[in-house]
Amino acid sequence: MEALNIPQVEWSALLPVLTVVGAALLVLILELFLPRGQHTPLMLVGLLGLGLAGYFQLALWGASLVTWAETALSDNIAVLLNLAILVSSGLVLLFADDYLRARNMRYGEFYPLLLFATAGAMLMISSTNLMVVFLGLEVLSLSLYVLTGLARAEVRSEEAALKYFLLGAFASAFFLYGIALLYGAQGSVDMRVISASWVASMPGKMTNALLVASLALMLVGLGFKAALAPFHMWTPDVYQGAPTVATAYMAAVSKVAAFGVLLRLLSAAMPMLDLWSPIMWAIALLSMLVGNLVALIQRDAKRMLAYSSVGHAGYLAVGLVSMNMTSLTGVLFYLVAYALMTVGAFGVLSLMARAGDATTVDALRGLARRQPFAAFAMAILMLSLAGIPPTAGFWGKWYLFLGALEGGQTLLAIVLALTSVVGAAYYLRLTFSLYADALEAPAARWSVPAPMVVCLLICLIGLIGLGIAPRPLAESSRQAVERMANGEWQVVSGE
Amino acid sequence: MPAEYVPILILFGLAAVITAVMVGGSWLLGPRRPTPAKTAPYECGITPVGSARERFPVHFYLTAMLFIIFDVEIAFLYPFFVMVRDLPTEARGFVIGVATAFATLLIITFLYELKKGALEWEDPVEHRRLKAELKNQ
Amino acid sequence: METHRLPTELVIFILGLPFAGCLFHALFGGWLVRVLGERAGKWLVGAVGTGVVFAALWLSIVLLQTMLNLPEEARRANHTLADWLAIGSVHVPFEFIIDPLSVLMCLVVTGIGGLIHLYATGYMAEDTDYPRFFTYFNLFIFFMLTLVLAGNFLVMFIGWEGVGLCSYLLIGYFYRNADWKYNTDSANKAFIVNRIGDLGFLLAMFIILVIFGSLSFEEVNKRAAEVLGVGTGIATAVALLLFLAATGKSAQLPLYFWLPDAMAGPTPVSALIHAATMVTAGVYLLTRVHPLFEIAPAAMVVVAVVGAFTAIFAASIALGQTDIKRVLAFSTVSQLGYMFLACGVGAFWVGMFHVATHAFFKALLFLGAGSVLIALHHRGDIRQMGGLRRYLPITAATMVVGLLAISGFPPFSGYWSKEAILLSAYGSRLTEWIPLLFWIGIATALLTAFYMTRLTWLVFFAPSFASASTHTGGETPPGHAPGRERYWVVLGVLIVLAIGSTLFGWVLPSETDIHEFLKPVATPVHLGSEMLGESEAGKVLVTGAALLAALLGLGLGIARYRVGMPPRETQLQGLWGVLHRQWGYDGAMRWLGVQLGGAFAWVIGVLIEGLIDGLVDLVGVLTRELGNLVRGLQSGYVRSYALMMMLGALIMLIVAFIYGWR
Repeated sequence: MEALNIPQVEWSALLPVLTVVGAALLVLILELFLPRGQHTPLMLVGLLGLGLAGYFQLALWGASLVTWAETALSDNIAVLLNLAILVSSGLVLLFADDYLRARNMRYGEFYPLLLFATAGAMLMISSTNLMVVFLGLEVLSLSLYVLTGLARAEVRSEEAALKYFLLGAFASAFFLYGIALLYGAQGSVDMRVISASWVASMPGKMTNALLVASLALMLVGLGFKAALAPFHMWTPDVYQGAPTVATAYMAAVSKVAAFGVLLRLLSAAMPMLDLWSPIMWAIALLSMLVGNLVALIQRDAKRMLAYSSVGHAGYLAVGLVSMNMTSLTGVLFYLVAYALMTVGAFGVLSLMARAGDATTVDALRGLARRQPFAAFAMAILMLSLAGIPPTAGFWGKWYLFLGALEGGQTLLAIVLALTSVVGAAYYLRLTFSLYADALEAPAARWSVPAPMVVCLLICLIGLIGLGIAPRPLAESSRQAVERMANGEWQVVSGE
Repeated sequence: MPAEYVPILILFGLAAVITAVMVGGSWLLGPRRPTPAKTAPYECGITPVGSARERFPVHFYLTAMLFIIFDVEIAFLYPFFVMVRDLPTEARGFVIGVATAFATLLIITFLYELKKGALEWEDPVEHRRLKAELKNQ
Repeated sequence: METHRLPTELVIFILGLPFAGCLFHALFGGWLVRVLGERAGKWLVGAVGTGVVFAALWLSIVLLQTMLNLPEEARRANHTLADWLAIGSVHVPFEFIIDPLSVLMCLVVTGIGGLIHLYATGYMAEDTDYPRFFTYFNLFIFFMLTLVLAGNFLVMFIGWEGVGLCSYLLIGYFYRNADWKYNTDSANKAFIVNRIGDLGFLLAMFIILVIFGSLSFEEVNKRAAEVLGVGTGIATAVALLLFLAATGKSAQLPLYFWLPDAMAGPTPVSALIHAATMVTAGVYLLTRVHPLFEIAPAAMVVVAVVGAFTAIFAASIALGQTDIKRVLAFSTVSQLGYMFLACGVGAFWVGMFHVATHAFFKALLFLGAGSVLIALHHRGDIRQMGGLRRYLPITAATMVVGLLAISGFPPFSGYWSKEAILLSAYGSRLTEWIPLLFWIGIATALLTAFYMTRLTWLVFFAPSFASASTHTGGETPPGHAPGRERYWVVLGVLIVLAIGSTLFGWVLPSETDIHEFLKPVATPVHLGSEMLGESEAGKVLVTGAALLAALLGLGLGIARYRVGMPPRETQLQGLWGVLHRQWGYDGAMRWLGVQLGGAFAWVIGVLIEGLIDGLVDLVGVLTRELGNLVRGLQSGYVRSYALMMMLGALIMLIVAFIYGWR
């Protein structure tokens, strides 16, 4: 029989994901043996796991490793984005308990599911092998479907879960079909080969057509995950229907993961720029316009944020279309900032669970009277989402804007600026209503639970810190992008 | 176009044509004189009660899904045990390690199912209620 | 002094002191008032708030003295605090510029600002939210100094937005009293209208960044002509966008209408922010980047025309106002118009000169009005005043000084700067409209004297309303008798400002001193002297006409209001009503804002909903048969969503094959 090649493995590159998976399994077992409804140990173990994973991840900074038969890798982009994912997951984990208790959803499954989803998202970013990416995508998605339907007593949550599941499966099929065609064309599922085979392929041949179709189909699948128009239709329904903590998680993490993969895929497909840039151009334009304009007429804050997340996806897509150092730096910077902003904003909305879970803009009126700190935090988060200095959101947009100008995408840059103004309108409207008088008699003041205070403080300090001193993160992002562009890999694999 | 796939295409075409001919032929040629007794669902001569489209208890689906998981496990493990003895020594440790990881994951899943009561047919709550009723009688 | 360079590190302290003050009030103010008791706590807060501004003033004076000892070419220095942004080739440091222009503005901001802080310790003494007021007030000084010291557009933009924020906070300062609705609406109005101007600033900044690759004032000014070209479209566009920013902040047509409502804030705020400093930021901006304007002659004409027209427009409206602070607000708009007229004809230093003199006498007038308001328990309707000189002798005397200064009587400060403006307007050859602009300036001088006389006379000298109303059958007189002048700080500040308004411009620093001082930074570099009114030719005519206009205005005012306001005017009938309603401009803008804005939002809403829903419906109708086949899916909208995805994927595939397949 043939000799079996045992791959040599650089375990440190896999350690962060493995740690999260381990923590998830531990939490899963732990939940069985704890008294019902007692979730604090689960949360602590989860946080410990995430923290440990974060430490391992940080230790990988500067390394460019490809290992496990070239199915796993670690570079600075992976480090940055995985850290963003870990931080967002940690924040959600921290404040979820209070929400789940207030909504009477004491399902211990929440914790392992969240951790599995995190592992999936990290896996997506830490590989160029599309099968591994797909595996990560499915782990993330399946966990999210369940998390969406967690409030199973509520029709809206169930409906959202079913919609998300059906459409998500549809999108996964597109993605998988794209991978299959790629394999058909070049006999490999590694996205880094796509450009090589494109350059090598003879014009007018079958391979060519397969590559074109494969890239387009993969963009559909990822566009769905990233909530890019016209694949965004699920976003408002699911964001609104899902329990707010799940929404906070999925809004931040799946966007980071999807854009991480898009970033890798499209920069690997640089030689095919002529092919995908008109597609991404149209997607970016459509997302910015649809997301921001429709958000303008929303009455529910969760729906509004959902549409606005489509708009943000559009801004990020502008960065991908422009495809230069500045714009890709902007994409990384924006993803980190966006993760913080979104988790914080939905976190504040999750506090509304106590007030009967009304998340309409009207219900938020006068929040400043009832809960000054939450209102203040929300105001800063909204300013950051609107891109008003000195917040991280401003610099994200700024880099994307400059990147677009540098990349010669003047029209997109103008639309980005204009739709940001539209965005500022609805964010500021929400902010003003926080400080306006409530429509009904002001309800009693209530206090923000301590974990939430910690989370919001982390978000605010992060956003304002990045707003005042954007350079460290911008420099790191730039380094990450430059290293990827130079393609220096240390391959640990083989016999 | 790779020419070696053409026979498969022809096979597909043939399958479709044969099916169409058989189903369509009986539909076209067969006499149809329906009576109420003929159109009724066949239930061993007993008059049908209610619709045939009944919903099954969710337990069936659950059990089916759990079965698939373990079915796949068997499908993986069987060839593994067959092969492992023939492997070179230096590869054996690695392969066993992979298999152990796989099995561990399944065991944890199994424990979880067991503890959550997913393998019990009766609804635990309903079960307790029935038991209490029996005692009272 | 031995130094051969400017001590630029002082900038950190000049900026840091007010900011530290702001932090101090914000963090400890309320606590101090609680712990030390109301009296001592307020005293401490007031002392710290005022002290930091005066300390900044002292540092500015040190800077000025060092600067005067240096040769002219060494009077310009940059101080880079930190490297802020570096994006590829673009490099934006956190830099400040120290030159005669910024030092002059520093002196005005901290000098007048310090006095007004001092005044506020008396004026706000009874306010319950004392520390909050000083928090905002010190924060304003900080941002204003950032604005004037900024070395590039981005740093200036921080200050620009910051002062806007403080203005917003302070206009809506009384958000808990009976007029809270009006106050907060006014604050929102100021904020929103200013956003339009900010859009101009931002766009101009982006264009400059893209074209110049730098935002530094020094570099942009130096390379303006070679990079943009003289008289090109892009040069005009940049200049006009910057001017749009200036019209927002400095309350010029078409964006002036937020300023009158901004008077809802406390009077020291009106004096400091909405008269002496913040609203002059537009003039400062124009002077700071004057080469950009000089290479765009068309924009210069626009600046001059808008300035002159705003001057007379606002002056006419001031005639019909009945609230003491609103009269002064329109007078500010009108005086700012003068400053823009000066900038528009290329006499940038004259504009800055008027900024300085105007800061003195307008602060004086506002603070005098504040003194009147204290006495009258904050009722500002001049129709119900009269004869107050008996109660408020010092206020009356200082207000008369203010009247003479703003009307342009020699030797008061207003005379020097206003005459300089008219002279440069008269001599300019920039456009054939110049004679018209000049005569508008003269007419505005007449109106200014007239409405200021009207105000001063009706408040202090006319028979009191109580005695007048007995035979006009008006409303009941005010219940309370006017109070006396109580706060020594209020009177002290009034006297200091009155002295300043009298001496500034001919004794303290004379007009020629200021001209010499500003020469290196405000002399046009691209406009030849043949375009400017440097000649002394028209001096006699100009001085004569201006003085005649001022005298005529004074005389007419006294004649008309000798025995109080005529009843037709009191009831705002006819022309007075039109003037009172600002020629309908404010109403029209409000209508535009509310109605058209609402209509726009409605149209967008209908369009989007109609479009999206219609599209989904259309797709649904076209594919009903297909839909029937896939009914196994959840009914409802998932179908349409999936269909949209499907269509999107199809279009993408088609596009990919069109563009990509070779």
